[in-house]
Amino acid sequence: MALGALGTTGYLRQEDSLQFGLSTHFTSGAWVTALVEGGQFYAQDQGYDFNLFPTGGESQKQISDIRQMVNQGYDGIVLIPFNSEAIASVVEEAANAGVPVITCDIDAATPADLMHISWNDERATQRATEMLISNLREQKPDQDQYTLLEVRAPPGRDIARLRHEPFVNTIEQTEGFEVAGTVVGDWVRSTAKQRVQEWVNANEVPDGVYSANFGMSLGALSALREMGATAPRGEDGHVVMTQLDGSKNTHEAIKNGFIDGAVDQPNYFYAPLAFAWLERVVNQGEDVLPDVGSTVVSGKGADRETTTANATTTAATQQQASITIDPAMHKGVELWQEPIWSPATVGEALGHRQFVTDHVVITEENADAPYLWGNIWSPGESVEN
Amino acid sequence: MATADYVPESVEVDDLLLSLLDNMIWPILLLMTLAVWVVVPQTFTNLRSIQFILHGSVGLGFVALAEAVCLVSGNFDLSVGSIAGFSAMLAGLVVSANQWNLVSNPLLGVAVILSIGLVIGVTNGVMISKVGINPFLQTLAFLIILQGAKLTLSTITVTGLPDGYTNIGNSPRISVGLLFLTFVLVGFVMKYTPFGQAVYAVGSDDESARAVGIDTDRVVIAVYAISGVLSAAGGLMLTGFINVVPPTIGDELVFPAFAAAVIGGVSLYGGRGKVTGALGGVLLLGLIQAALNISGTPPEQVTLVNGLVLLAAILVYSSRRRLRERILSRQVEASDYGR
Repeated sequence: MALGALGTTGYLRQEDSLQFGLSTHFTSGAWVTALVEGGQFYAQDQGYDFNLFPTGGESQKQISDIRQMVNQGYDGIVLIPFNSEAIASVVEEAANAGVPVITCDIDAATPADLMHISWNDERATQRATEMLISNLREQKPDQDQYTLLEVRAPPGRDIARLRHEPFVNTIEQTEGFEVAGTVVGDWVRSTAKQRVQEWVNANEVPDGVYSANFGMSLGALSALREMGATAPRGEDGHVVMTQLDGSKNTHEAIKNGFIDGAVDQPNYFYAPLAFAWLERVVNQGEDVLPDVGSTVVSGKGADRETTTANATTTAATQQQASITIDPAMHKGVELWQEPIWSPATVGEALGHRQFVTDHVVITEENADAPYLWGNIWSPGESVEN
Repeated sequence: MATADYVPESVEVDDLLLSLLDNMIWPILLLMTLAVWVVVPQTFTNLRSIQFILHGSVGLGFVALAEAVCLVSGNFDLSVGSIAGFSAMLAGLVVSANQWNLVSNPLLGVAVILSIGLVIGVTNGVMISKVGINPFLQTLAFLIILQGAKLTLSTITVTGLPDGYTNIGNSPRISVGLLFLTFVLVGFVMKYTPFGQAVYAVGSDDESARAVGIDTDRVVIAVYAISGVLSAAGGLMLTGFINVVPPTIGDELVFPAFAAAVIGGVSLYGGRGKVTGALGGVLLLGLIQAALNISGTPPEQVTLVNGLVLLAAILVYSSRRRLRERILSRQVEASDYGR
């Protein structure tokens, strides 16, 4: 059983360092940069022999890269798969060769995936939807009917579904709320802007807008602004907006009252957490991983109360492990100072552990916080869009 | 003789038919507009509806024109979207107050982005005409190289662009006006100038064009240079539309650009079609997207509809080719009778 704060501090092997690889299908975007650089910085701090394998959005190269790493005797692999199913067999190959694989952000669909580290998209979508509902009720108390516009991602990938269905289901079950329209924003500002412009022009300005990521939300805001349909919170004509994921632009819009809230990920912790667990596995074996049903907290805050919604509640399984990502100076800040991932709950799906981190709710109170990735990775950005 | 009397009248009708076939996209666009008006009337709630469709189509419009010019010359350009994205990113970094901040004058910024497109286009043209690389492979290589180079330059959205630089693409009047003006200008050049006729000649038959004294290498280089500049103009318009340069800019443009050109009647085999038809193709795609968006069509079905539209266009145009051949052979037959 994996209990107790082992931490990773001071684990430096200068002569015989651990050889870890990070394979990612992502290639661009500030959010991705934060995720990948978080891993690179941590590997550098820990003195790992580290290699990054970007695959540019295809499974075939990712499979080859993993085989290369296995062939070269890597000690462990952190993997952000392009396709959960396509990558499964090569993860099994790695496991059979004794190379542990931990995935981040997207699962590998196999029990050989030692552990998957990410937030829970459904729970985050639920939270963003609840924020939309509560903000509308607070800000427009005289209304008993509210119309909503959803800016969703194109269907076809799990993430698009997970960021869509909880919103629709919650609204269907909430009296007085109606999804008046859905537009597909392709994850990016330009498409979202055009689609929202067209939809709003053909219909009425909705009372609220939910967007499945920050790019589409900023596109929607840009569309409303150009149509003269924006007003800050507290003023007549304010369209309540909530979304998933923060960004520098989002934070500024929240501070200025044009976006009401966002639910954000501790993305720059994902890869460091994966490396920290891999190191334990390499040194102590797989039993060191947290049990399904347990809660994991940051070693720094191990004594604080667990508040996550789906934290295990039965006495038999109320076990608490801890792990620490030590802060270090990167990007001009004390990175990982605030363990925003904690507490995490450990579940099971696809035959392997799911290390589900906590999320961060961004409002005007904390939009300036130095622990938000958007304030670290894009400090020069402006909301002038 | 009855046949001799029949020929002139028939030729007139045939010429009318041929002209109609060459401009088929416009009646199709008109019919589709009427259909959308009836089935999804809220697509045309007011004049702004049309403005949104036009404004949202500007970036793709420039890139589709770039592709159309290449197709007419009998060549491919798979790199048009990547040129748009790369030139937007590089120029964005050059003019951004938050980044390199090398140029603050908006007009100079425009010159920078168009020059980037020009250099890439000329490189494509020289590699194809002088080095003899297959156009498909050359532009495929540049598609990949430029995508990688764009991400090497920045994986983070570039902001802090000068107002004058973004206003061009952000203002519906300016950007749509420039798009129409460019189509008219390029259409005029292609139809009424020796250079335009040389492009059609090279696209129809490279060997014959060379035999009649056309410097085909120069024509190909010029075509790719124009394509590069137009693609970069598309990048400028996309930048203005969203006021920033995200690292994904231009990534999804190449296939819609091809589709728009083909739907607009430009032949994939070269030498046929009017580049102005690509504008009709862009507008048709924009109109259908807007109607699907507003009608609440499930997003799962939107891609299916897009594919069906393209297939329908291909079927229509392959019928057109057969019809054209039939009309032309009838004219030859008729003139033989008259001789």
